Amino acid sequence: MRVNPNPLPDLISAIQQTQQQINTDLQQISSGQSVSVPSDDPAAAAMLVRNAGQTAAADQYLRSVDSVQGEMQNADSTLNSVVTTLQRAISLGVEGANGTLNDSDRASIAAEVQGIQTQLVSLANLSYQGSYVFAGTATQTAPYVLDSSSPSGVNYLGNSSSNTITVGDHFSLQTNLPGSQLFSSAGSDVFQAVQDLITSLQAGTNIDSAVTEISSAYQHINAQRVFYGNAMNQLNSQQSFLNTETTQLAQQQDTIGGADLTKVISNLESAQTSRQATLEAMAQTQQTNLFNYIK
Amino acid sequence: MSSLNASLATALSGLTAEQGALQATTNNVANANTPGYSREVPVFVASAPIIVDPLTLGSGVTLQSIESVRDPILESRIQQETQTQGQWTALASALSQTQVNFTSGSGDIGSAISNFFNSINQLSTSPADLSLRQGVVTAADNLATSFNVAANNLAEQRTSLNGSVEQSVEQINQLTQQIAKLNGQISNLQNVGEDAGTFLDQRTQLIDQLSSLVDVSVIPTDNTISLTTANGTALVAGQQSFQLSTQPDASGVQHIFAQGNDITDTMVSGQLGGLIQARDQEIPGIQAQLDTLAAGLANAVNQVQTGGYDLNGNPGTNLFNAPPASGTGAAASLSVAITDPSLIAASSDGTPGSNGNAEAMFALSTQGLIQGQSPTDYYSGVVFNVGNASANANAEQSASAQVLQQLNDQRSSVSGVSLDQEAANMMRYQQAYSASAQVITTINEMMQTVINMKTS
Amino acid sequence: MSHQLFSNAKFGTAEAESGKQPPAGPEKKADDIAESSLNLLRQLEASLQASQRALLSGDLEALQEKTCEQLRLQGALQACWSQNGAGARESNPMLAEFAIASDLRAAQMRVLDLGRVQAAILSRANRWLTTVSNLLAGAAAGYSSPVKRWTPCSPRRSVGGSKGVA
Repeated sequence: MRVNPNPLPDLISAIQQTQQQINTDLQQISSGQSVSVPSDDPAAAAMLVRNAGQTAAADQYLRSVDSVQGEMQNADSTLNSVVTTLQRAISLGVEGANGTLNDSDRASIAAEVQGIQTQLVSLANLSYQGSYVFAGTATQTAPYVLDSSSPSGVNYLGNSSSNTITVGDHFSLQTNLPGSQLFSSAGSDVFQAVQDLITSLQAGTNIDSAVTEISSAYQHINAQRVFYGNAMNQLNSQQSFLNTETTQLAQQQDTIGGADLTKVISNLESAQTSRQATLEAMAQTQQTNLFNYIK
Repeated sequence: MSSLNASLATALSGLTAEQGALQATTNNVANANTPGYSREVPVFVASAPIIVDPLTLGSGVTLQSIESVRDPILESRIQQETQTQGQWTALASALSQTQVNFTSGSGDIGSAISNFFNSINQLSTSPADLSLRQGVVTAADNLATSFNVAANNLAEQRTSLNGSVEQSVEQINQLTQQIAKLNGQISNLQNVGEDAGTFLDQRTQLIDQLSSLVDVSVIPTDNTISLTTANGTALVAGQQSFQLSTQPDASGVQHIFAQGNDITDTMVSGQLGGLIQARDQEIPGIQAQLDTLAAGLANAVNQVQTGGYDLNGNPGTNLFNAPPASGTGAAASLSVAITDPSLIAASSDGTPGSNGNAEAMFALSTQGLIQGQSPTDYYSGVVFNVGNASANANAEQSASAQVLQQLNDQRSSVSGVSLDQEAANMMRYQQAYSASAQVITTINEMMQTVINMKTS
Repeated sequence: MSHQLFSNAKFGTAEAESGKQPPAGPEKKADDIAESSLNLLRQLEASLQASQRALLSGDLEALQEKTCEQLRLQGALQACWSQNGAGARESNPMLAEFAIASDLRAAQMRVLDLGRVQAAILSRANRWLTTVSNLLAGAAAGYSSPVKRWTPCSPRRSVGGSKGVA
């Protein structure tokens, strides 16, 4: 039987194969990732694209949640101030209804309630990062202005629209309550109630019914605050969910495409050793003419 | 024919039908997870003939006479596999370059799509904010650039392949000239009864080289040989060589001509076949997918944009310059039509604080915009297609190399399966191949399924 | 993007504490599944490499034997992954936090690659076989109904360990 007199092509291809393995290992080490080109694992490469998209989206949702939480916290604490202010108005009203007061006393109380009215306008015109929070979607104009010719003492310049924001896959929630719903709602108009208290204190009549009006406006505001409470609870849960999701996505990404560097390095070492051995074998072969050994 | 041959013939005729079934199975292995790939139903196809002196196809051969054709058949097989190797090497090399555009990195199309939609979601939290609006414009610019860069690279690669086609044709012409000359020298020696061994060896070498470039059939004619391509284009007839020429078409793509006929589409094997396949099918196919994605995305975004209102309360205008109606070239030409951030149409009712249209634009990211898929999912499919084509080409190249090595070992020594052994055991071999192919298919599908299993 | 230099903390602990009762529950089961999977994948890899050599050298016996072996290994792997319900997170070793997850991934990729190369060599081998059949049959070559398929690795062969199968 004849021996293959041309061992060189086999050796050369063996060297090329180990060299290729070395190059692949070097690439893995420098990128820290084992799927460095799609052909290494096409299905994994496709999965990594989708994983990256989901991860980026989850990160974005977390940022949006954060932004909305900031605005809602501001809105809610402002409403808290409104409620406190209305409580003060009620006290003043009760005091003013006391039959023992004279006109001059009641006029002082009325003046203080006028101060409250101004304060409420200021609170209702809350601005957050360049936009008015209680203006509906007409956010570039202050929603409330004092107007002595208006029955409620103010004019509402905003609208009744609201926004929603997507903070999860097919999950969105309403982000704002317009002033028309909060402060100027028919039957529970905060400003109307305050104006009526001012008028009744000045006139000295119907103070009790004005105080009742303010009480019911106070309850209306409290009821509306539920919206913010609910929304912030939802945002908190969504935040937890998104944090879990990003962790899972990161694990998935590591599993699909992460390289075990210690393994890669040891592969590299053994590939280099084997290439060295092959080169040495080739050097030896070139010095020998195998035909010398064939009978 | 002997009775042995007649009964063999009946049994073996079924093998011709089985050939298609096995090819379909191996195609299914390669494409198991390609989106939209429908599994092939085996069809009955004929196999490529081998014409070997002193036989021509169809004359039949007995088991006894196989011995005399063993060596020339081996030569023929080596040439065939050399062609196949040349083809897959060219294709594998081209695709490994192509897929660089689809590795994940900071500028890749996938991240650019994500960043674009994320900038819109951020805008939704504060639609009147000018810096957030600028963020959307910038992200749109980066998205357009990512498409432009990829499309440009693919176009450049086609140009480079075009040059390689020209070079290959030049090499082919040189070789056919040399072979024709050798045919003359061989004839001269043989006519006077002398040994033409050295020249015959040289000629075999040259034919091998030619085989790596183009599909070559060697046909014995009179006392010399002719070389043709598989579909009959003449390359060499005895001492005469027929030169191929190249001519660019209207778009600069080099076509190959033989005696005035355009034979480009018939070049399917060898390095030339691989280059043409890469240049005219694989890369244009990927370009088309990028164009589909770019056009689909741009049109959808524009539609939402023009349905809303900008910061000034005016109806929105296109965010991207409208892509070509046919879609072709959409990726290369994708560009942003807006520089003023106040023109982003975030509002759905004309008020500056409304984010309804921005929400609608963000919702596009999960809608089936492009052939029923979201932009990111469609892009992941493109990545898979490129990676899969490249992996297949690499596997085919590797298979060719190993088979060629085996055949060369057979040529150098007397090892490996003999032709009569193959002929006698044909049924068993075919059944064994078929069984192996079925198991490989199952294993392959199983591995892909696990990859696709998602977290709960 | 972070990479994990797997310290094999979880895996190593199980090994270090062999002899003690391992933790029960999904974690332990997932560890078992991961380990069994890796074992089977490595056997599959070796089998595919052997069947490739058999295919190239025309060793019919070895090719058939390895095909049966691959069928058996594939079935074992399928059964392994079906524990706890297919698709369940605990039973999918690809997606859990295993120290050997990257080994599993690498083994899977090698099996995929070997499968592709085997398929490519198979199609060449079969093309050649058809050519031989054409040579032999000559003008009698026709297109009749397919030859009845032989089912490899019938049950009675694999029960109780078949001859030659690793």
